[in-house]
Amino acid sequence: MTSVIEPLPKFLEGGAGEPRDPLKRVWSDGHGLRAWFSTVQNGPIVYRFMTTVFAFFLLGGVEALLMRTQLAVPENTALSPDLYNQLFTMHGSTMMFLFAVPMMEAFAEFLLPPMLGSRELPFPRMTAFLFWVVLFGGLLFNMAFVVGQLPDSGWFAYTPLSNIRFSPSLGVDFWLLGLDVAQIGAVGDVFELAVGILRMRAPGMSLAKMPLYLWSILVMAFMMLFAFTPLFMCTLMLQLDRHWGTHFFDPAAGGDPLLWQHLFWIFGHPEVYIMFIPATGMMAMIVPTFARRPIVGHRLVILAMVATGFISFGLWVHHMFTAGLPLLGMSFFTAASLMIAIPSGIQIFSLIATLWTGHVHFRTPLLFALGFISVFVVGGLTGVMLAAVPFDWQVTDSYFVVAHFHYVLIGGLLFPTFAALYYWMPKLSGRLLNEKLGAINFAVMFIAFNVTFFPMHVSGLLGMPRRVYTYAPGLGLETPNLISTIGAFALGIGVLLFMVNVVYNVYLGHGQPPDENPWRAGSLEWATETPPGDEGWRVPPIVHSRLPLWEQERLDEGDPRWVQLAHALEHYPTHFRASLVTSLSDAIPQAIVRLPGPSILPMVAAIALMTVFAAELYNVHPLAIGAGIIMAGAIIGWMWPPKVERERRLADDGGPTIHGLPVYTSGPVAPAWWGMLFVLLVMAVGSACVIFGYYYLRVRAPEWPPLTTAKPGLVLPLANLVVLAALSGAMALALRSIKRGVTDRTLAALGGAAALAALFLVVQGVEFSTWGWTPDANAFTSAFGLLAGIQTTFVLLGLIMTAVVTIHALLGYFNHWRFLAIENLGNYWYFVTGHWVVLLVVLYLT
Amino acid sequence: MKRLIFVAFAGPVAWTLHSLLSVTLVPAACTAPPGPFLLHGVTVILALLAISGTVTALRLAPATPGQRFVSTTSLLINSFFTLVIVAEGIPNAVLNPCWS
Repeated sequence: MTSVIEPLPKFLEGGAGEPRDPLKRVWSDGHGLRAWFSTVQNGPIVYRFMTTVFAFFLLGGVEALLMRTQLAVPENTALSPDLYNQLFTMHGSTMMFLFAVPMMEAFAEFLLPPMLGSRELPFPRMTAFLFWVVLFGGLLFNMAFVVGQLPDSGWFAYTPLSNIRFSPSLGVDFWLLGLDVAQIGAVGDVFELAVGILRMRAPGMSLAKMPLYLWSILVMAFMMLFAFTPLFMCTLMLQLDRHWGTHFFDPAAGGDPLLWQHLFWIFGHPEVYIMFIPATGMMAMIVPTFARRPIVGHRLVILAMVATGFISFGLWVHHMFTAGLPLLGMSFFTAASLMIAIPSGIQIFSLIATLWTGHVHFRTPLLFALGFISVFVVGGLTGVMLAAVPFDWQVTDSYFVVAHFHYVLIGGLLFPTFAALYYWMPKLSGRLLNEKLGAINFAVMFIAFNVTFFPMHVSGLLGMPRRVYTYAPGLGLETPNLISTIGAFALGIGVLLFMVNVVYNVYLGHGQPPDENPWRAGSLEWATETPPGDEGWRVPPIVHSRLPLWEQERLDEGDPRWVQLAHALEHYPTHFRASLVTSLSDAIPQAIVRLPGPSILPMVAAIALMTVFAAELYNVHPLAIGAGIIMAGAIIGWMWPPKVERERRLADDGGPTIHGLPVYTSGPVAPAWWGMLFVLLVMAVGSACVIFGYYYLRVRAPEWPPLTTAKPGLVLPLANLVVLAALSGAMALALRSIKRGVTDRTLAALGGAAALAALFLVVQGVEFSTWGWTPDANAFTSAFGLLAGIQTTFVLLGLIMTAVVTIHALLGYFNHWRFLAIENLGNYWYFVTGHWVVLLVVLYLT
Repeated sequence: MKRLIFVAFAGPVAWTLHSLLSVTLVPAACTAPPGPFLLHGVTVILALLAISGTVTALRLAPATPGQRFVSTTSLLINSFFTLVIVAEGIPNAVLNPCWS
């Protein structure tokens, strides 16, 4: 059934230059070089994002081919042992950090607005920032090639191998700092994706009617928040150990190398599912399309995704079965690792049952989907084997493990990525890829993949260790290794075939322009323009079904109030970028949100962020501080209200509602309120990781603190608690005053809050001077100092934010219905006060 | 709303607590007088928490389709996490906490 919303009349399409249609005009980012750098539109950003990430994928692939060349024959000397170590480190890190997760993010950024029925995601400048930080972080990471200081301690950089004593070159620092830049972008993307899905769905798209892909991205976003933050914190701790003399991982001073393993794998294991869950979400869109029926067990698949998301955080110890942990303790993780097979199985069986009961049309995306199912099942089965402690002890760090995780990652990520590229390329580029070449592409990749990686199971069972640059002849390893190498080059040819398909049909423009809905799919994204226009949905769709294009006659019918609203939005407002905010569970329209336009500041902030980290790499601290100030300025400017909004605010013109919906919202209705909530969650998770580390080290220490180190007194911290309590009170007063329209009292309360934040920092400085030790004395001082430093950083950031909000208040940007920034700032300070209470208990009272 | 939040998170929270507490208490179960019963107690209490989420989900009267969706999905999730908690509790009956 074709769903219809009246197309734009031709006379509004506009000619050269500015569009005549006011809606198109307000959503256009313009043309030219400046527009290229400042665009916040998903289309162009995702295009270059995917190209960048694919380039990193090719680089990682070349590194893999070099390794396979070395291993083709025994005792080969094509690569030196050192270069081999560097290549497997770069290969693993590139694929995991610069290809796998960013590619999933890029797809999500592109697909969410059309699939949600929203014109944009809530923080468009964050999308631009994400692209720039992945680009610059990846470049910084790969600068290691240019300066000849490559990391060589593997993609999980275990301590003590990665500490300054055993890895004295800058290689590990490139690894730590380059990847940190990219991870900051990943965490930033969480806000965009989660808030977009929770608050910006089309009217009627309740949680029950939400496509499974959106569910998968929602789960992925929460997982990224809880996984990448520990990674950031443990890389920070390693960096402090390497260059600032702390002792988190130094057993000679009370630290513990196993702490690194715990923190890394708390990130590392969920990372696999951060890739797998969106991949199954993609499959859940592609398979029903080609089976011509809705997916079997829709609700069970949601259950499976959510359960997998949770349980993936309880499996990390199965990467540490040979680390000497208590047997019973490990068995809990064995049980959880076995149980995760249930939700994973539900997802796979749902796809199989959909195909089994449907009328299957074999097209290239479906071929790759079938490749995903078969390959991932093999990887999953060997994963269940590895969850058993005795089996793991036999094959750990052997090629069996290498085979296992390539079956999981290539099956669970690469095949779905190719399926998705073939499936959504027409929507992304406006061109169809060649089907025959696509089928050949799949056949070559599928066969080559199995030729490459299946023999590695045999090599591993024969005892071939991973990460060793060569092997002796006569051990039975020659044949499987030679086959693997041949397969690897064939896999490379498969990837080249895809590139030929894309270059010929998309970049050179020989591909057929697709129909409106080339695969006859049922999901919403196929009802938008191809490729989607800058304004996305002119008339927001009204959703009554999980598969609206199959089950709805039209997308603009239903509740008359919603229909009227949807059509009214096409004509007004057109003086700013407006999109609908809907309720959390039932997607009932609640507000109209004003979205920001193009800006060069996300790119400036990303360059400044990279400069901070690059300067730290070479210990040029003044440059790092200068770049940090520029970054703070860019972010403040990025969030400053634009001219049109400043004028309207100052004039208090137009009233607070449009079409009966509020434009200036507060509390949980406002996307920015949720943004702040996620910021606070990130801060809480980051701090919790260090608190975990503090107790981990404490439990293992014979004396805590060591006899040579005095624990700081309680007087000054208690005084600071009083300061923060007063600060929270001042924020509550500011919020209450602005809600009543008393601007003078609001200003006074904000000024008081800023003064109290400064007072906290002064008292904290005095306290630091009374410690009598520095954080580099031992593990206790390192952990204590880091936690205290985190609180100081929170207060410093809060002081900057309070100063900015106070300036906004002075300029008259707030009134009794425009106060979200004050509310968010209040929430921030309540959190910081609560955080200080927790630290008082952890550091001073226990 | 509070009951809806409870049914949505009872199972996952119970399982998280079970995993963390079980691992943390293994050394204590080796040396302290209750021995493995300490771990059995943790399993029983947290399985009951997850089950209470399931029961509450069954008895909820959702006001909107969205709430109905959350309660039925939570019912499945709580049941699943009860199963995981029981599975994690089985090794307590088989393995000695002092073995390493």
